[in-house]
Amino acid sequence: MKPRAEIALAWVTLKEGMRERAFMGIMTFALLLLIASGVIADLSIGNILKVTQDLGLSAVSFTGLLLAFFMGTHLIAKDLDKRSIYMVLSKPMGRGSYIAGKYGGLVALVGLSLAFITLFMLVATFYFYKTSRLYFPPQIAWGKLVLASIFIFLEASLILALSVFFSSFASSPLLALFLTLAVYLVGESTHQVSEILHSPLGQRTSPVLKALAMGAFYIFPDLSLLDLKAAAVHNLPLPPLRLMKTALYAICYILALLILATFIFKKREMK
Amino acid sequence: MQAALRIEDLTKHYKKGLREKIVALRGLSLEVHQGEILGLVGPNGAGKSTTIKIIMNLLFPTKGRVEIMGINARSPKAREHLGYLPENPSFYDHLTGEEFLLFTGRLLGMEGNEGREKAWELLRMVRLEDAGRMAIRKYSKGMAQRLGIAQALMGDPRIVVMDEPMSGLDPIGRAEVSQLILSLKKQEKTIFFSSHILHDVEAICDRVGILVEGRLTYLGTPSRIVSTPTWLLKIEGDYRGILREKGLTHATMVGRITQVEIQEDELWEVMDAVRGCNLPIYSLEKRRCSLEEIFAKEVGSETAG
Repeated sequence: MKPRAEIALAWVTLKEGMRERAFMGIMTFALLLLIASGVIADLSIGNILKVTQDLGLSAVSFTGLLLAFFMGTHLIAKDLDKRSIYMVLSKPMGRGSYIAGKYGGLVALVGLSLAFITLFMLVATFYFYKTSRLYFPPQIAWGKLVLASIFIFLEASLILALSVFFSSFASSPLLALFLTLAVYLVGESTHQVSEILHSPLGQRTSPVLKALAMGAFYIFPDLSLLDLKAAAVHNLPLPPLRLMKTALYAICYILALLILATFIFKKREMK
Repeated sequence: MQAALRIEDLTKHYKKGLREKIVALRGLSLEVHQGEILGLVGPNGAGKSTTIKIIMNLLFPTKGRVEIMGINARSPKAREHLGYLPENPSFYDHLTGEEFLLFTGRLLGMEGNEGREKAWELLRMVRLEDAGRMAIRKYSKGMAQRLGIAQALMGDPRIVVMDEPMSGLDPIGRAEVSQLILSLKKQEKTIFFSSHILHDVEAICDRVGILVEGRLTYLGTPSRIVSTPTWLLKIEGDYRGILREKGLTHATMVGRITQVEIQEDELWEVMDAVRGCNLPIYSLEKRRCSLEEIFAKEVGSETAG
């Protein structure tokens, strides 16, 4: 059976998202950030190309995060608030199809935006590479830059899944946004906390605190695994197996969140 | 013949805080026959929208069940037979009317030209063919309502459920929607709708259900209610006390006239009593109760009870 309803909903979500003022604002901001990063890199004392790549990838990451946080919670909340969801759920489709369609549209929106910003970043890097007056211009790992952007997209997709999950039961978009932000902050730091706990410093930590921190490490997504920015800019080795495992981890986490969201949303009443 | 829509002992409680609960529906049971128009009327908070949302699986019953063409309403399969117009329909308003209907068609599994042809057929039917390529955000309330009806009919459903289809419309808009509903009946569709505009219900429904505080207090033809005759007895002067002694407790004063409404089967008994007391009868008029009066009476008796 073709997922026609899901695709139709994803398409409408994508179109709706692209017409949102918040989306246009974020995209304009991202482009300005990229242009500014070129100017800042030009003024820097260090290697202009490394600074350009670093700032460019940061701009891509920042755009992905902003879009995931705001569009994820906003577009579902808008459906519930304006009650346009009634028109969709009254059709012979399950609540799971709604979650899948909405998530699909949001991922497409973020994916297309990140692809555009990445392309802009690569063009800017290429321009600086060609016009640089360095005696020994470093080799730019173009493939790793693209790979880093793909992993930024994976991270944004995971945050979108989090926002869909929280929107499936939160009574207000602000609450969903706050919960997503909280999980993001925890997810960004669990890896470091785990490393500290496994270091000699961790021996002095109380067992209860240690158990809590390790519990958080296993429950919350380890978002630092998806950050390849430094490796791409400094051309560090990226073992394919590690990349595949990381991607699989993110995809499994996303699927688990969407299944949970569906389960909760099936029980949600549309008052 | 199988009922198009069967509601059995439907009860719905809403939680209010930790302990309190609001009872929205109390054991509502009714059947809507195929091809009929049934209007559910009641004041705000009577449970009309709750009933419709349970039919559409937007809310879940605390007790009881709903069947659509013999299928449990909880199943998506049941909604293949249903078209739904929510109260104050809201759309993805960056889309045009045509795009929205095509989107609805895709949700229903329609492909390519099939959806486009159906969309334009419906746009013509609801007289929106000139606005089909206009963004929905530019539509007037009446146009949006008609587009809402068109999307409800996209999958050619056998049953159309509408929540307050005439609310917020001007008299012309209401007449247009009434005509549309009547034209759907000609297409042998079953219509179930809620309204608090009793005149509209009276004019287009085959049967009417009156819902008061979650209870169905009347279910029958509007003509049966309207044609039940009553008599209005007017007596010159204030004779409420005497009438009260005769069991007519609902006598009222209008100016210098005492007025009392009498049921047809009580007429001769009351008249004998009044004549026996030599009261100055001003007039005796036969009258028909409008649906508004029946409705007010039902609300009154429920509240008193």
